[in-house]
Amino acid sequence: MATSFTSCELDEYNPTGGSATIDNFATWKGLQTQCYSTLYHELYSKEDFYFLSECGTDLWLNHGSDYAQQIFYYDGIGVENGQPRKAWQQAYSVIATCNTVINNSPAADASLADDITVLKAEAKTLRAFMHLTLATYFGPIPLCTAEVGQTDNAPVRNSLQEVYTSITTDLKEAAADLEVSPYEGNYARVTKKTALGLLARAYAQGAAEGLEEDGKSYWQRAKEVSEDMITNAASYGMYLYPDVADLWAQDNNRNNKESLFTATGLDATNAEAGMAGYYANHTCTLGGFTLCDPNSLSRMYSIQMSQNQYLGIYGTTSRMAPTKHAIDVFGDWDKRYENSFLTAFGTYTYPTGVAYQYARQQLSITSTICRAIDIDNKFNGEKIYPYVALETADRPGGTQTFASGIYAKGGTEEIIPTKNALVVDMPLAQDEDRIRIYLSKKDLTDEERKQYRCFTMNISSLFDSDGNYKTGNFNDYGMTAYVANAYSLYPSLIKFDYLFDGAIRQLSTDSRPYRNGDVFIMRAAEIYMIAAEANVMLGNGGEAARYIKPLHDRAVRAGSTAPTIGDVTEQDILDEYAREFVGEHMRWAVLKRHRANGLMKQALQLYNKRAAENFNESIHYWRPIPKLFLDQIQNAEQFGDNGYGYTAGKGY
Amino acid sequence: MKNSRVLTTAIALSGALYCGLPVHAWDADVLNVLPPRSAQQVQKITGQVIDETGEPLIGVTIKVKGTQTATITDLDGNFSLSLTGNKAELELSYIGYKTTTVTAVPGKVVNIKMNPDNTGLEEVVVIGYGTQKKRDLTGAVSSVKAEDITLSPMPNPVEALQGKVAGLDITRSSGQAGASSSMKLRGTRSLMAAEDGNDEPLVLVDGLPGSLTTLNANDIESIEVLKDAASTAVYGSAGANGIIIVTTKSGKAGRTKVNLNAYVGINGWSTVPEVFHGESFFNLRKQAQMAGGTYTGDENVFNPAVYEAYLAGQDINWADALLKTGVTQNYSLSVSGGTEKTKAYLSLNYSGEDGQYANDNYKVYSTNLKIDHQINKIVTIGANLQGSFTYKNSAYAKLENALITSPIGSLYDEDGNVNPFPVVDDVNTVSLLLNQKSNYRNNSQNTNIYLNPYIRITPLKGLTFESRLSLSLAYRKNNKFDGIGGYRYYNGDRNADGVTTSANVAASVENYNTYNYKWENILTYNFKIAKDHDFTVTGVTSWNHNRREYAYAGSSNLTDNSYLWHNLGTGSNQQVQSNYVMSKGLGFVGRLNYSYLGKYLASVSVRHDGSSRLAEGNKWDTFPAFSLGWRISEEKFMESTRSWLDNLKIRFGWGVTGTASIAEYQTMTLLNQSYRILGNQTLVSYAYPQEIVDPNLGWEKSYNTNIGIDASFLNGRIDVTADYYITKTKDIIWKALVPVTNGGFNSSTQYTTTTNICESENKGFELAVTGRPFVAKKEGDFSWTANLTFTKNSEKLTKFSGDGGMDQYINGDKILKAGEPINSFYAYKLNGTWKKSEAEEAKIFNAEPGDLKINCQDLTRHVGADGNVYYTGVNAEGEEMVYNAENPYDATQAKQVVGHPQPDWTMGLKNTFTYKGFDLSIYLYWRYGQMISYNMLGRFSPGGTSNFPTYFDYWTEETGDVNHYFPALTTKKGITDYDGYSGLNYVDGSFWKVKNITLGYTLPKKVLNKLGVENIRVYGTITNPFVFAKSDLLKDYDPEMAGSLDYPLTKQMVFGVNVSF
Repeated sequence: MATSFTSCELDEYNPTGGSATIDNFATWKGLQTQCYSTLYHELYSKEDFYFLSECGTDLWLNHGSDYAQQIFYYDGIGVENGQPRKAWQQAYSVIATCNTVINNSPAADASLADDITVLKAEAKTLRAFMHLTLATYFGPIPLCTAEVGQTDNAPVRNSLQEVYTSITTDLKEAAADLEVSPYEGNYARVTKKTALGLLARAYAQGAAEGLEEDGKSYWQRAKEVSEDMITNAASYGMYLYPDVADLWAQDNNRNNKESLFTATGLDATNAEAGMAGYYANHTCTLGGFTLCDPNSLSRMYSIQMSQNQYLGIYGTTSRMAPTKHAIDVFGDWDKRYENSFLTAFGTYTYPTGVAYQYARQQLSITSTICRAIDIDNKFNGEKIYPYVALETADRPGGTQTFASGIYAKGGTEEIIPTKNALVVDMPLAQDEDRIRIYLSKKDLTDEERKQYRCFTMNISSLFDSDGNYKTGNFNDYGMTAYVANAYSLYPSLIKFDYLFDGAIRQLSTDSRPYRNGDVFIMRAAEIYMIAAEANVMLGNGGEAARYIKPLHDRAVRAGSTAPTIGDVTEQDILDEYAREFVGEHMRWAVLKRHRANGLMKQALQLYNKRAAENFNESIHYWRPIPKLFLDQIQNAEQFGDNGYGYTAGKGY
Repeated sequence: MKNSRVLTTAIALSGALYCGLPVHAWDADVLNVLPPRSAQQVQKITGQVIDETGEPLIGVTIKVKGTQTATITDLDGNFSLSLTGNKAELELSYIGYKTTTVTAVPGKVVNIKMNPDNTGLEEVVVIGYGTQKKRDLTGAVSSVKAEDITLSPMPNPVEALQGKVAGLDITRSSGQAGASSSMKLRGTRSLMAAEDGNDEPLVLVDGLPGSLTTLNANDIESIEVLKDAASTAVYGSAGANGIIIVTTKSGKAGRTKVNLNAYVGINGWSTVPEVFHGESFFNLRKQAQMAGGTYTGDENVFNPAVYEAYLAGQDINWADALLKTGVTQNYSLSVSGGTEKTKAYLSLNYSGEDGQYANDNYKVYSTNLKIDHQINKIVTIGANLQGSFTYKNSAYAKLENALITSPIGSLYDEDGNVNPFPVVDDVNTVSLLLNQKSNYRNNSQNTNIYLNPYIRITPLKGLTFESRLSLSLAYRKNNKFDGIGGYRYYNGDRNADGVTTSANVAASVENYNTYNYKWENILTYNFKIAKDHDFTVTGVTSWNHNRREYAYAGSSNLTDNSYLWHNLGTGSNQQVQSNYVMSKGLGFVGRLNYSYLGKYLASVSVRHDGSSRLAEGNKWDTFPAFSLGWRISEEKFMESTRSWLDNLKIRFGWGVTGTASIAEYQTMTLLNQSYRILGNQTLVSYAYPQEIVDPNLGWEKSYNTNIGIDASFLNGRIDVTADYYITKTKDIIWKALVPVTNGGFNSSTQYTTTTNICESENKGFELAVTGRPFVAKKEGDFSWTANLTFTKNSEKLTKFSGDGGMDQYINGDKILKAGEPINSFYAYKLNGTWKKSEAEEAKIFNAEPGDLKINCQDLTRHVGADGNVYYTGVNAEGEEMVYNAENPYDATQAKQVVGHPQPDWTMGLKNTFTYKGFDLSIYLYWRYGQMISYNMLGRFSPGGTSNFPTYFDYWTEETGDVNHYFPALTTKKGITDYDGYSGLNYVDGSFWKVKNITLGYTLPKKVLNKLGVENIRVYGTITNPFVFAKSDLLKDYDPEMAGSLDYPLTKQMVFGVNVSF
């Protein structure tokens, strides 16, 4: 009988698995695509890496909450915190896939040889980027060199020199193989300028660790790479918008010319991208964390549709509010201020719903209101008009809401095109009649303040003497009940608040509409900054001014002039980074580059006192190695946790 | 010659163990030699058979010894037989009675009294691929008879087994209608299987895969539980967690028999912890605010809208609003009968259960059809068909949320509609009553068909060949629908208007189609050598092929609630999925059973088993087993004990079982296709599956040793079975997470690898005692039978495999650690709260009075000369440290093993009393030593912001020097601000309960005879009337639920009737 079973083999049949293998070009290329998976999906669109990369610095406070106090203020930070754990996991998750792509050449005919070279170079760039991210936050990390499918339960750390050598080698090789234009014209893919830009960033970051290459300091190498890029900008396709307003124009969010490396969101206007179910996982939540809630002044700013939103953009969880320093660092000439922070809030019209018509969105100022918001009674009988005209369009990705323009002053319904409806020219004009709430950067006297036709308060009065945001009712500060909730206002970063057609926003009853705008991972201005920074660090502050000037020139408000830049100091560099890159996933890393001269510690002491109290220089320059990871390896004690007390030693 | 050839083959098959035995003396019985034909005339013997109470016994088999002549008694116990000869030896056999032999002389009427066999030694017990008399058993096998399962009706037969089989731990953790019970035999061995809930014993219905949960309890003839490896090794991998063999009733030759069973009753009355209401809830929050210094007047205790509702006296008892009682009912009808050649059995069953939530119900329609036909003396064919259809609606059951939800507000508006927000202007609280049949559905429909045709050939006496096929078809459909106006709709968007659709309106359909078949061939040869050597040789081949298809469709933003899930095409976010999985297995079994004079017993078996799920090269393995038995009571030197000792047997068994309980395709690597939108280009993308192949993955094997004693005293008045076992499991399979430094499946999900990681050891003791203090001498006398089962099991992980040096593996709140029970709870151990008088000591742990006192097992407490307390301990660097207020200790690193989810021991005690026509049974059940994670305990809300049970004993300034379990009530802290708060959940889950009480009455025979009915019994049963938890923290909670409370266990009261005619 046994013989009758010999035909019954114990093989398995798996049609769901398909027949794809790595030696097929299409499959290999599909795996290469997977190397891009983490960038937008997690790292550059979610709060965790955002907090990790921007907070615990001189630029950000947590508004009215202790949420993530470990990251904002180093308060109780340890191996169990989610933000470092996620970054660790997200960055590492794709490296093994990159390795598999790099180490395996698919069988393909000769015509595809160039494709393979470019795609491999892309994978090298991504591998280097992830290693650099890890090394920036966690220090001496284990380089991941194994392909998917290999398991090492006792990983060993590499020295920082080994880690950075691997990163720079990858980037140099990639830069040699990558083209200036992206593969298949896809702007989401890394190019030659990406690899070179990251190389400059890697040298700058590694320089702070005292690393060298062939006897040259990393600062020197950072200088060489960045200056080469600037000198030959055209040949690398590197570009600076002549006007910083264009950099942040809503229409330029997609395929931004200044970008060197973009985390790309879905485009709802693209029929092909209209794949249902995909959006939910690809939504950018960053803007919601930085936006305050003007509706909390419900009598001054009432939007019946829903609480907690501005121009239909929901500030679902207001958390990140700028320090006073993040505001003060901008000069009076600098329009990067209003292109970064929203401080004047107007209402909008909307095509559906009677309540959102122009006539209904006007506020008639009465003498009671004048008293309540403490403005001159001359405004009694005047009106505040809507500011933004929103419109909708049905796209493959859903109903879109976007700004068609802003209304002209004077109550005419004329719509004027605008680059960015979130940007209001600063300082606010005295005849402005479309703004309901204004937070003034300049400290206005009571008399000056009363001359505005809206509720106006000085930003400085939002802060207490320690530089923290005041909490609780503003009755105590002499304000009427009408505006007593003004404590919940703060200058709101708008770099991630998308208001263009295609960002898959839906202004309907959805409380969390999808947002899918692009996010810069790196842009050309950083190369100028690295060039300036490297020159300063190499003792050439005068040369540095050359590289900062183009950034100033394009940021000067009409009618102002930028101050002349003299000998640039290390502190100037930090301040310039703050002005140019506030909120762009960079502050913590940049501050840390300058820890040697105590500048990071000093920045916290001056502008983020709560963080300074908890900051321990012997530990906190590296983020904790996650407990979850340590529990899964066999050599946790040897690996160490960077000094956070879970393991005996730091591990490096 | 033919016979000797068969024998030789059989012996060779079993490993030539007994080749040395002489093969010459053939027993007449074996050769089936009839007496020589003679001219003697045919004569008649007539008589009547009665039982010990004098009542006629129907259906007794009477066989003339040495011939094939046999008959059975009729309704009045009468029989008549024809025979040739002057006298004859009649052998009478009847289930449950001692086989009796009498000498009869033709012409004379014989009256024979049969005595019950309380020892059950002659009972036939079903074992793997065969049967054995209980007398000859050498493995650890427990039997449960039909009466035990049907005496007190339960929604499914599994629950009826609770506490009745020593070693089999059964719990029902949910009171949901149709919720199944979980079974675990002799503790946890296989980790993966335990994780997936696949470590239940395999249920075989009439020898082939079937379902016990949808089987009609009234169709069950008996249930056998095979516990040790010596018994289960013949099933190879399938037997690793034990085998439950269910034998269903068959038709019998003779009169058509009809059984009707019905019961109907009420289900409900769960006890639910009392929570705060009205003023007490207000005061709770006020007290918290006062303690926290945030109290600014009564009007600010709640937000204005809630305060207004509170003043208006609006109050909700959420538990009352959500839970109600439901009806439970069962109707079953069976018809059986047949001729000598053809027998049939047919049953129809309907069972319905309403849960405590509205729209929580479960219905089973099932049928069992069995036909056996003897074609000729050699060939028999037959088939069983078990079919069932279940229909289950699940409610949106969130009792835990309900209990902590603010009780302020009103459920309904003036028109009687549910208020989406109980306090209209407070959108923070969404009503849990919103989900109704019109806007919420979650139902599943299962169709299961098992068809088992067989052919049995008996070419000569003792030799049987059976070939049987099991076809199992299962079709499952899950439908889900969240409509406009439901809970999810308002919870997802607090500003929803109740009319417009949104992304929170969604529906889906899932279809599972499973089709498995199994083909088994069984060759059995029973023969004797030299009269006293009884052999049974069994050879089996077993092949199975399993396939499952899956399809899913779902969409959202549906605009009309009446679509349910039937118009998914109109929705947006349409999603479609499908997949297919299969696996195969093949096994070869050989077994030899041997008995010498019924005194020395032995069994040897071996199975060669293959599974497609394992890696190439590791697919096949061999599982040997043997067992020995010695019936000491049969020895000559025991003769003096015969008056009081009926039976004494010692059993010893050893065997190996294997598990390949891993998902399909775990050992294949393929790249999975998907797509990715990158910079507005839709690209084909490929990714490796989440599971990384371990090329060395092999069988997980358990080595089991079992020692048992069976003893019976005083003519069965006392019956004892005791077993002791040790099981060592090696190469335990576990799905380990791959460190992310080797890459990740995606940015948030790690790769896993299924690998053999560790070893464990289970030890246990099982005892089953039956006592009959009173035995009825005649019908209607008082009788009392007590059945006790006791199980003690301890298990621990002994070591991790490999040389990696890994000594623990933390998985959520569970830990795998050498020396600790498998999946122990790893959490903070709490010693109550810091008292006011301990303020100074608390500082050593950065704590203050009212904070939780975390047990730090690595520290030693000292009282210094100055009376000050300090602690010492060794820090991570290995240095001896002194901890005091200046150098405080971080207690948050003090997690430890706090307990294990498996009980230390369980016990069941059933007392059955009969008197006249009445029967009363009381069944008690104990389960001790297990820890549970009781969710409600972690729901304590220090600020009083959410509700909690009133019995929670929290710290306050006034009672600051008394022991408290919960920390201080104050708005200063949220629960997560208390170090160690996550340890609050863990509590000793030991309990005992009165599982059920049944009172029945059987109508007297006289009345029945008049009605022409064989039997009528009416009864009432109360299930779960009393539960006693050991811990005070489990007030109004049945710990059998193991920590959750969303579907509380119910009490049931049913009334039923059994009729047969």
